[in-house]
Amino acid sequence: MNKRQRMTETAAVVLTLALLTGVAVAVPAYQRHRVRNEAAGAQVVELYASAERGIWTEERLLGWNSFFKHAEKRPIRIKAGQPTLLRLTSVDVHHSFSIPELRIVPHDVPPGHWTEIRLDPQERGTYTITCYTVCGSKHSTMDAELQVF
Amino acid sequence: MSNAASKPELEPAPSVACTPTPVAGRRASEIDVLRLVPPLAWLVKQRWFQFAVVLPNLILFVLFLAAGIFGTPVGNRNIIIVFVWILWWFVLISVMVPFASRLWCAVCPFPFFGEWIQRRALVRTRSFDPRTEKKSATGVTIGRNRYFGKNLKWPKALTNIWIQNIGFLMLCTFSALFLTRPIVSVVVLGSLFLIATVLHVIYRQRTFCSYVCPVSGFLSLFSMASTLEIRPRDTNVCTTCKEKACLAGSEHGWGCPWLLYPSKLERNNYCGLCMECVKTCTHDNMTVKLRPFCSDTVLKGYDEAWKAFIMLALAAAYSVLYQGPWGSFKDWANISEKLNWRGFGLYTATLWSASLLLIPAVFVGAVQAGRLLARRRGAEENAAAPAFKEVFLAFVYPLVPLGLLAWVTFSLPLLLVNGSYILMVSSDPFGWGWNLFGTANIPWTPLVPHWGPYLQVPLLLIGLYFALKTGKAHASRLFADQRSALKAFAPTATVLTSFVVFFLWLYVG
Repeated sequence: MNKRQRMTETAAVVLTLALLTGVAVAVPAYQRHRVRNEAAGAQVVELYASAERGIWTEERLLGWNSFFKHAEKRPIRIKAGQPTLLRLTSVDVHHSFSIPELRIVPHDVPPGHWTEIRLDPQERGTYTITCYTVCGSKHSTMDAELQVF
Repeated sequence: MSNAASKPELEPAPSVACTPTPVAGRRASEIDVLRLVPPLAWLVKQRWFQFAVVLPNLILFVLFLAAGIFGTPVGNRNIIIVFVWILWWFVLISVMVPFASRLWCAVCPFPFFGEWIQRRALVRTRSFDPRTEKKSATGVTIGRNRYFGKNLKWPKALTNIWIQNIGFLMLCTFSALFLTRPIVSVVVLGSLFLIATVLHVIYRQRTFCSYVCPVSGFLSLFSMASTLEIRPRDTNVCTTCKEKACLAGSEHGWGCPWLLYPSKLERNNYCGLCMECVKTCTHDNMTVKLRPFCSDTVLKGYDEAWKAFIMLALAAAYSVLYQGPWGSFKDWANISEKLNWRGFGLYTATLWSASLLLIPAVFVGAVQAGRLLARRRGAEENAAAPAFKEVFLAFVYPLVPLGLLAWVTFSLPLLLVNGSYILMVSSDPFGWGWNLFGTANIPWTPLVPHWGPYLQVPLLLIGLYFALKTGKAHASRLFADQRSALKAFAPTATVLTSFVVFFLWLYVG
């Protein structure tokens, strides 16, 4: 094997490993950067809606765990007086998100899309998150508590 | 693990055996692409060529797997579902297979790591077994390549495509699951990737691709119809060639990874278009040719015939399931959401019995009826009737063009209706809210869905035309006189036409 062949082979190996590592590093890094940019200093809360479970949850429902993950209904806590970016997505069907007491009118939350809502609650308290689209047999339980502390 | 030198396969595997193609008149209309486009010849002869085309695919594949695992579970917003099962599938079945044979196998990422381990090289060729190393007349070093791993021979009883037939049918039974659930696609594709890697370490060269890969099975069948082939320019050069670098390997390339004898290639079925033979040939005698549609017309065994039955049954089943108005059938297939095990059992039983028993039985009946009709006349003229197997395989061949066009017909509306998802996931491959190209939030827009039937009907009729044409050519070859040939083929022709009428009813009825 001559020097040129050796260099080509080395370049191929390096390129392969670099690209594979690059994908593994660049994808999550870009996502973090993007969300930080979107938030522009606001606290970020991501909520996943699941009609099958009848909940809004902060637990991440992704490709690998959405089949079996048992997400529990827990209050969603945000700090009072701090701008907040709510990022909402659905893992199954259409939902619509609303917090009437905070004058957040129903926002469409289609499956696989992200809906972003900005809010800046000043008063401490507990508010009810409601789904305004009949999303399935557990629609009646499709609510959550938003605790502003 | 041994560092064994592989032994070139001097005799092709049974179903890869080479006999002259019976339907004559093809040679005159072939075009030597590498002579016509010299830059292409230069390109495919570069050692880095295959690496350069596989690597981007490997990166995309890894990205798709990551999207399936960490992306949204919503199928139509996840790139693994949209790119693999809508875009890739359509391009593969409607463009690559008909016009570029098994070109996909040349760029497929599944064997990437396995082949890397086997060869311990990504681009270069490795040293030869010193006992076989010699110089050719043209000064090129030739010898059997050394491979890392066990290098075992695949069991002879399995040198056919039955594993691929059953594997593909099994996968397709659960299609509703992996067409909608990204994680199931990850499991399916990831498993194939792992199996490919493990088998490359245990068995010789592309054993996985030849005998195990379920995608390879239907590619092998439908590539017979393709308008592209790799063949020797002049078979006389191969006959007098003493070196057989295409088999053994040379300093320019590896011996045929598909364990074929390239100089005697007569069919596309088991050639993965890796271009190694184009690189290794010391006489520059291997080339890429353009040829008429349906140039390979010989099925070699029942495994290939059954592949044709399976593909036809699946095209019909999918057309009913995914494009028909019968919601209950869809519910039966969609076991993960509906959990209707009885319905799923019925769907599975129907699919498997139609693929493996019913359609084959119809063909057996048609072929036997045809032989009977022809024999009556043949007996009068003392003509010897051809054997059942010969007639059966010849008359099943028309299912190659017909099945291929049926799949194109089925796949086309899927692309037209779901094409806009491709734009969406291109901008947001993981369903994380990205908008890379500004197309993430375009509404779902079916593309000219009303054109569907106007495109489907001619496609099906083209399939029928080639089916009847090739079937009739086989009949004329097998039976003594034209009348016997027509009588023999008539029942099969009726069956083929009935299939097309059924598809037409499904699509435009």
